[in-house]
Amino acid sequence: MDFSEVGSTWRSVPSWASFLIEFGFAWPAQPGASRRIAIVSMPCDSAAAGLIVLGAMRRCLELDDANDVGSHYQRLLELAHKRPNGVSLRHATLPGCFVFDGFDPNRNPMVKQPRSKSSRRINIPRASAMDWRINGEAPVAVRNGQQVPNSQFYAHLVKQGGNIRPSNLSESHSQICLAGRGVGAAPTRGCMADIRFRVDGCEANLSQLLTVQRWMPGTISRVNFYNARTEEFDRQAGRPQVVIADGDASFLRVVDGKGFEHSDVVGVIHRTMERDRLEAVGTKVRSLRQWYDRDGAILNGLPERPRGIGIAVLRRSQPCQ
Amino acid sequence: MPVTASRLFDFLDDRPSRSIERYAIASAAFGDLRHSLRFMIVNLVGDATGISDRLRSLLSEWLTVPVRFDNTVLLALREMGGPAAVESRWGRDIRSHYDDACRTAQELMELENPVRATLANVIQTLCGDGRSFRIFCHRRSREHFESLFPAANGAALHGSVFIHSVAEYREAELFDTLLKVGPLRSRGWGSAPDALLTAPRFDTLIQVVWSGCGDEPGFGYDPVSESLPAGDTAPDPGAVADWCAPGLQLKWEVQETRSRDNTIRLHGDLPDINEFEVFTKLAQPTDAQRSTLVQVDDCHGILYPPHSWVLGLDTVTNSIDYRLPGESLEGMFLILPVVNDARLAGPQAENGNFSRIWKEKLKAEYQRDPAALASRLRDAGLQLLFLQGCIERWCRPPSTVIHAPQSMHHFEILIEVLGLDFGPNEPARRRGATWWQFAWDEIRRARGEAIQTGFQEQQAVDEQALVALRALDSDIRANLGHQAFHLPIPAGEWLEGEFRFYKVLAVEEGLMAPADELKKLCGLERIDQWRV
Repeated sequence: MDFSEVGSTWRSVPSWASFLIEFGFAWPAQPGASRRIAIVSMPCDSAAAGLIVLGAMRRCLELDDANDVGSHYQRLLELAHKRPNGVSLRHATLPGCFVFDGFDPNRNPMVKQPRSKSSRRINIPRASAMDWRINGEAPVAVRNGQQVPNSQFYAHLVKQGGNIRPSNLSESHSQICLAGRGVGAAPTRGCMADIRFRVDGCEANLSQLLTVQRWMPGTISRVNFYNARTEEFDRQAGRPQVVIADGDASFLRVVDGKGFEHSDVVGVIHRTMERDRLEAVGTKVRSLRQWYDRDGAILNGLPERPRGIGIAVLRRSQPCQ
Repeated sequence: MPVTASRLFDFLDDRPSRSIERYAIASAAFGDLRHSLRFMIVNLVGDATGISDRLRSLLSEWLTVPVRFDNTVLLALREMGGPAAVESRWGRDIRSHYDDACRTAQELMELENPVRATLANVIQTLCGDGRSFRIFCHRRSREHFESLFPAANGAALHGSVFIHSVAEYREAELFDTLLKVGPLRSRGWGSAPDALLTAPRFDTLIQVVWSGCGDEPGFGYDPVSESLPAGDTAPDPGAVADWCAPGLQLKWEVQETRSRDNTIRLHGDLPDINEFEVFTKLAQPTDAQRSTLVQVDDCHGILYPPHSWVLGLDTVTNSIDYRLPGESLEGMFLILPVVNDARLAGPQAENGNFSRIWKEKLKAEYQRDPAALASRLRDAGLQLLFLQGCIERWCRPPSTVIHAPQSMHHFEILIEVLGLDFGPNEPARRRGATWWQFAWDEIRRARGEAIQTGFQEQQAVDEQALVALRALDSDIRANLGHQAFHLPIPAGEWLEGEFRFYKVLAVEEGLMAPADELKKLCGLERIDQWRV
């Protein structure tokens, strides 16, 4: 696999990038494990957060049940009960938008087309739930053997990686979350797009490989995006398992943020900023030490840490007050 | 284009350690001056804190900037009055140090600053060896570096050599050597980003310091170190020892070269000590608070309390919004809504009228009998330490700001003593407030200071300001080529007054200023005294 940054010549993936991908790959937690928080400190502004997300996403491609298929029907049921304003559905083949309209006798959600003259209502049983997606979100799955674009890249990302489950390349997943920079989504995407990979003559940039829904519309998405400026997710899919925050402002917003209380958080900062901002992160880390212990276990199985990258990992030892 | 992460990691990986070459310079004469000034700064308290702050500011500058030894310290000392006045006011000890300071300050004017000589040698060597180098210094210190090579008219030090902020450092390409005068400190005089040590883009740091001036303990801060167990953290870099950050696997080997001149000290071999440590321990005024300086031109800036929101215009995205005064504000326009005081409606339009009148009267009175005017002002309650110097400053014609007393109460006294008021035939609308109130409002608006209002009213003003600014979109675009401009708030808006636009040159954190000096345009010379 080749690597290029900001249009530079192709080279093998540098140690700093492969280390961060491996770090992300090693991160996903065992179910029921204590919450962990990490700070990754970089010597320059970079796409480090995206590389960690890529590693974590790559790990999930190996796992059973790493998809939204199981939870999708449940989510449709909840939405049918709450009927929040502005939520509509689209079908894989039927044209137009649909809105919830009660339940059938088996308690399956019913939908109808709001502007249609026909009074036709369609029920959504569990078996056909995959045909429906929330308008504005990625489909839960793509069918007929289709896969996420650039799927050939994922097999080459980590040396010790296991086999990717082919079904995961066709199904969305929302447990890995990228929290964008405090100034908004565009700078995060721009930074990710500067990193390019090449496999067997095919090229893809990091923003494409992350499959964030708005950056790669029309296909499945395996990374949930949180806009730290507007404080909105790109989908409402429950709490993510891990949030990788790009930058100090994003980290500080997420680490105590509503909806993230039980998620692991990896904050990626760079050190070329003012002392006040560095101290704000340091103060947060220090305050966390009341309830968290150092946990360097994750670092043991990783390749040698490149000079200039600092990592601190904390694991919750006591419940927060 | 900043250096890519891959290039930077290749660079860091290239060698296990980097070097700090530290030139510690001792001068007997300057050591004596430091000793005397330090004594006065620490012991001048009460009503003398003004002179103490001034001397601290001057000494701090001399310790961190390659200045020529000129008469600035001597002039500041003379403002204290003659030796007899100093003794009668502050006692024999202060008088003794005052005499010593005057003598050594006078002597130093005959000598070349050895820091400048060392620096010139270092730069010439670097140029001769063909090594790429950069200089980290405060924006206002740059002229002193450039003056090292007068014959070449500063040509050896072209603009791109200088780095003034962490943002500029972040954008810098890789280079061989970084030059820094003064100790490594995170805030205040001679401050520099921690990234110089924790995220180096160069191999060698050449530091030229006065003896005794150790680096700030904890400089080279990295939040990750917060979670490392004690013992893994970096050693105190104030000592001449290697500096390492195990958490980052970065190491700096420090090599110190000491030199001293052959002048003879007044007080024997007293060791030089770190003034910055001494000054840090001095009690701050109770109302002093942490503040951020937004510099808007070469001579002026505005201090803001932490976490305050300022109106900023981003010329790249053409968006106007409230922002925190941080480095992202650099290059944008700071917008000050200068809203008219409704009580004083009408004569405000006649900008400069009131200041012209009172300044003419003040100048005439001062020229007639300076001592008598000062005495009358003191008797009326205007108790300032260097009153005559202040009066001379207030007589100056208005520039970006109207030079006037800082406090409204002092200004009221001044106008009362000058005997200025509306005549009986003045229009009734003027007599809604007194003459000095109109004149003070003129000063307030020149300083870009907001009217003191309640929280809710201020919120309404903030919201309305954004609405009014949108209506000025085309006027704003037409003026973006200027460094500063102002536009009247369009008629029909809820607010009356004008918007002032200032291009932000630099943002600097870590000052400690009195609360009543915040959020107003102020001269940088004055602001210097609040640098820690």
